Amino acid sequence: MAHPKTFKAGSTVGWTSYLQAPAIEELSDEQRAALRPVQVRAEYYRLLARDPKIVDARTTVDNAIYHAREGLPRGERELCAAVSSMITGCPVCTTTHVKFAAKFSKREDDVLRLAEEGLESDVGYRWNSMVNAAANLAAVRPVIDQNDVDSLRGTGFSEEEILDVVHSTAFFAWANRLLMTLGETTVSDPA
Amino acid sequence: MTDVIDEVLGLQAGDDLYALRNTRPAVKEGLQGVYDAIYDPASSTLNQLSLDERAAVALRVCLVADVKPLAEHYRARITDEAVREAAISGRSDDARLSRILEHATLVAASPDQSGRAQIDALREAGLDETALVTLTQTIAYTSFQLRVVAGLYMIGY
Repeated sequence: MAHPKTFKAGSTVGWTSYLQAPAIEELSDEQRAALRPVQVRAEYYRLLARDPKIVDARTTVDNAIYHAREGLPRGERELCAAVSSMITGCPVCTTTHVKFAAKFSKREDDVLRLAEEGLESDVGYRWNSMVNAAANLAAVRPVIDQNDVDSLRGTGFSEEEILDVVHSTAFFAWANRLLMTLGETTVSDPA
Repeated sequence: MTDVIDEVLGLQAGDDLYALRNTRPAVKEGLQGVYDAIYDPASSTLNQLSLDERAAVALRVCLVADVKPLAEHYRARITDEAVREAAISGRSDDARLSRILEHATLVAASPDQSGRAQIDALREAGLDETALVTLTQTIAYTSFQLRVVAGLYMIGY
């Protein structure tokens, strides 16, 4: 389950697009309507607006997964996103979602142990089973198996929560690949 | 209502897994909503990347990840036999399609190996900025969708 080093506490990550994103004033009416107001200022989203229907539908499913009020707690959804990002090797997504997982779960020590020391770190039965399942699902050839699902059931996850683990992890196979292939990531070491 | 993933997994009303998916209706609708956006026959970006090219990319990504039921869905979506064979082998005599499939294979398997040179090579093969966005979204969305299929399969096993 080894993952490439995608996280360094205190470092800052930046991202520059390889592609030309439209400037705000260059967006067509359809492109602008496909973005939420907060997205318009971000180069990344203006770039995705080149295919307006896809980015619009993508934001809908993004919100449905990470801003749901019931089921798996937000902190655990964010941890699934972080695990996927570590397995795929995306420093931008890892840094962002490690922070969110720590903040929403209020278990910063455990989140940082996973990010810095590796996904094999013991973080308690519930998270151990979730991290394993997420890592296996994020693999290039997903190897999630019956043991993973049984382990989730055995550590108290409901069927609905297991589905939330799947959705929260799988979505980042998407996000990771956009960030990693549409632009260049820069990581600057802590001062 | 059944969607593409229900069809791929053979789920219907009355099945436990079908009922479980319906406890997350916004995610189910959203997943299908993106599929509909990518394969919309009236999409404003069809001139940049054809429907057959999109399905070929999706098939390639499913084959790299070895998620057979979803691969079969995309195999059946491709209308041109030569495009279908190219997607399966990952190679084509057509330079543009060959480059597109090569990129899909790389991003599915080793996204960390895809840098500026990949994008430049795709531009040389005739893809413009919009085509590059649509192509990348198709590869990346399929990477999500196939993991939902793989996860559901294991929940229902």
